[in-house]
Amino acid sequence: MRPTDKIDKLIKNNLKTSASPQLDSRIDALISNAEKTQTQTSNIWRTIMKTKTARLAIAAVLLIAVLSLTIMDKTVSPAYALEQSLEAMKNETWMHMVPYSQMKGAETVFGENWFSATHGIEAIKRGDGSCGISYFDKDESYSYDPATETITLSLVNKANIISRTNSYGDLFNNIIDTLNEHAGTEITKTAEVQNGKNVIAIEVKVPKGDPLGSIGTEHWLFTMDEDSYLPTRMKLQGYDEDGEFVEVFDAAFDYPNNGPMDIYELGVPKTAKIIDKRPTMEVQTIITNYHVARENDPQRYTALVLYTRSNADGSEVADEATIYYVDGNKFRREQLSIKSDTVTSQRKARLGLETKMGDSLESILEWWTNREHLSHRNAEMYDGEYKYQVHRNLNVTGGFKSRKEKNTKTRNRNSKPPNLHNMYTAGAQFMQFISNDVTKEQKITLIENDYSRQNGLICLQRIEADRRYPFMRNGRRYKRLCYIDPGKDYICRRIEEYFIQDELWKKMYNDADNCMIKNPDPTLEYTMLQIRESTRLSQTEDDRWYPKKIETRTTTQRDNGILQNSTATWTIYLDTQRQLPEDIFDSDAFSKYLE
Amino acid sequence: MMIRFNRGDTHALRDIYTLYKNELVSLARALLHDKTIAEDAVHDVFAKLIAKQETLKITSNLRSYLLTAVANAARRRYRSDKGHPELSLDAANVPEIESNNPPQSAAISDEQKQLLEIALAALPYEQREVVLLRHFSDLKFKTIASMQNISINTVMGRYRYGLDKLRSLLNGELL
Repeated sequence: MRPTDKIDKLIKNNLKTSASPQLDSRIDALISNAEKTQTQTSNIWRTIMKTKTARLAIAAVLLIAVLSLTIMDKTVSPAYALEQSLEAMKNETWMHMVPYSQMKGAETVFGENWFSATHGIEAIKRGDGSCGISYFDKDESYSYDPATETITLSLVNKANIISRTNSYGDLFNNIIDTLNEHAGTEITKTAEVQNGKNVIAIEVKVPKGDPLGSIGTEHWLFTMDEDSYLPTRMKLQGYDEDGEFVEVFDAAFDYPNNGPMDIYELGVPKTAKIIDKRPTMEVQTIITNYHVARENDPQRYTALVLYTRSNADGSEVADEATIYYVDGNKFRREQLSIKSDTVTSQRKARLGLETKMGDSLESILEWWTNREHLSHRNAEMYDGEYKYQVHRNLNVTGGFKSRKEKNTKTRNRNSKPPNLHNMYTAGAQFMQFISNDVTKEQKITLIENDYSRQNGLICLQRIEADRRYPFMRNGRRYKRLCYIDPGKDYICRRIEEYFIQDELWKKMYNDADNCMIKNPDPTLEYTMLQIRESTRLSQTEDDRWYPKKIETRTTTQRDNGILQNSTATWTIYLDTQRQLPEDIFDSDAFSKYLE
Repeated sequence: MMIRFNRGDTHALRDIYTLYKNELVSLARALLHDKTIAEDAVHDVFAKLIAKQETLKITSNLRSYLLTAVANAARRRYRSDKGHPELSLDAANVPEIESNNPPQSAAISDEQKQLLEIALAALPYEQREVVLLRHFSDLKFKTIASMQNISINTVMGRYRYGLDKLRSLLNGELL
């Protein structure tokens, strides 16, 4: 017999034991208690809603987003207790919604939506004449701009739909929580006649102080057809603490046999020019590989991201740290700064403090949890079900205005851990770079240059015209280059951003045709505005690459027109083996810790 | 059973507990050397299963999932408890014969058990965990690596060291 077989036999034969009757009783008590609670919840719900399809009335506006997601990705299970409702809705050929929304002080926004599970189509028409139609099976999305009379063809914006679904789903679950848990909520059910049809109206008044009534009070009204139980109307109104109107969302529903099958049926002229802004298959493959690589990133870790900025005299100051505790979908993030009354102009003193930090996660973590020098800017925690956020009224370095303290607790089924300072994308938001939500002027292409060749990197170029760039006046962000390392888990190693003045931009961009001039003048001046770079890399214990140090070199324009350069550095201390504290995702511990 | 559990059927939990309880308690006890604490760890696992049943969907093998959960709970208990039961290799205590086996074989069996437990207790926790998950629970190295969120090389390293130490401690005694 092999030695390992002997060990195997020895262990198997000698370590068996039985659960005690005491444990049996404890587990039985646990399960019995759970069964009792489940029954109580169902009874409360049943007093409000008669049948499962009655839930449609509450979740009416959510359905379009959720249906979009489930049609797109058949492996996604609609986790918001809408499965039976969705099945009922899928039997309808088309769902048509006419919503309007208004916030206090803002214009009313009108729209019209169609959705068909049968055809896999979502269409929208807005009050300003713009409209769009998406085909989920073909992964094509057409968007019409009446100002330029052009139709942009892009990929379906799955990230946007997922985000909408998650936020709507959270709203749905918060509604259920309120109905089940809060005694202050008034619920009435009446039978009415609407447009000649018998409907059931459910009215919910959420009082001030309730988590869902955080702005004041809210008033919900849901109606459904008495015969079919399909939703006919959903209205949400919010009022502030003084009873003044804050916001309203009001949507009417019907279920026609036909709906728009192409964008022209939404009123778009046939003369509108189609601009294909879809990335090439090559680019799409690279983006897919990037996302696949991110799926294997560490799921459990402790990390600290230290922010250091350089001063004009060349000295460096560690201003701020963000601490992360992550375990799967649970996370806790705390943002800390050095107190302004401690540092003021005493930079040397701060440097003295900094040099005591050491260079290991343990030593730096210990330093940054020393509250004598520090204060919280904000903190958030997600325990797998609820998200807790705290914004503190603090005086922080840099002269930021203090914010009102606000503690919030919201139910959030699908919150994802925050990306450590977007570290896998050199500190930038990669989704902004490769987002499918491209505007007319944006296109991503694969290019090669000296830097990419010398470093064995993939370079994606995005040409765009964005007037909203925050650092420059009278100019536009012209292009961005993103360098990805296929040999190191597809980390984005470097992002370069270029800026161009308006007058020069007009020579490069054909406004009439709404596109770049085919052969732009290479002698035209542009300024490299910002470089973000992962200047040092490291690996986790299971050999996953991650950026150890990210530097951002930025050029900004002062009021006097002079350009100023500055450098900021983020150093990431990451440990995937460190044991997470026992109660790190416990809500009570979180509250006490921040007191 | 897993399908019923994923659908929120609490009766499925009873069936799951009945089927796996002895194996789970045995693993926890082998890790922690204290049956009371071991049963607390198993209780923790089921309490969490119940609390998260609405949002939790078990997609992997149910047995592996439960063993993983118990191993994690045991590790948490081990790290948080102030004192860990210590067993000395030199302990000469021989437990009283309680089994139905003939007196001599029962004594040998109990002595074997005690020596094994002492030897396992002498291993660092991480090595003990890997050895037990491999030999007692028959989990693959890949599964153990995934459970502990470490590389498979680290798992195999811990297994090798643990096994070598176990052999040297038991050499001449039981092997």
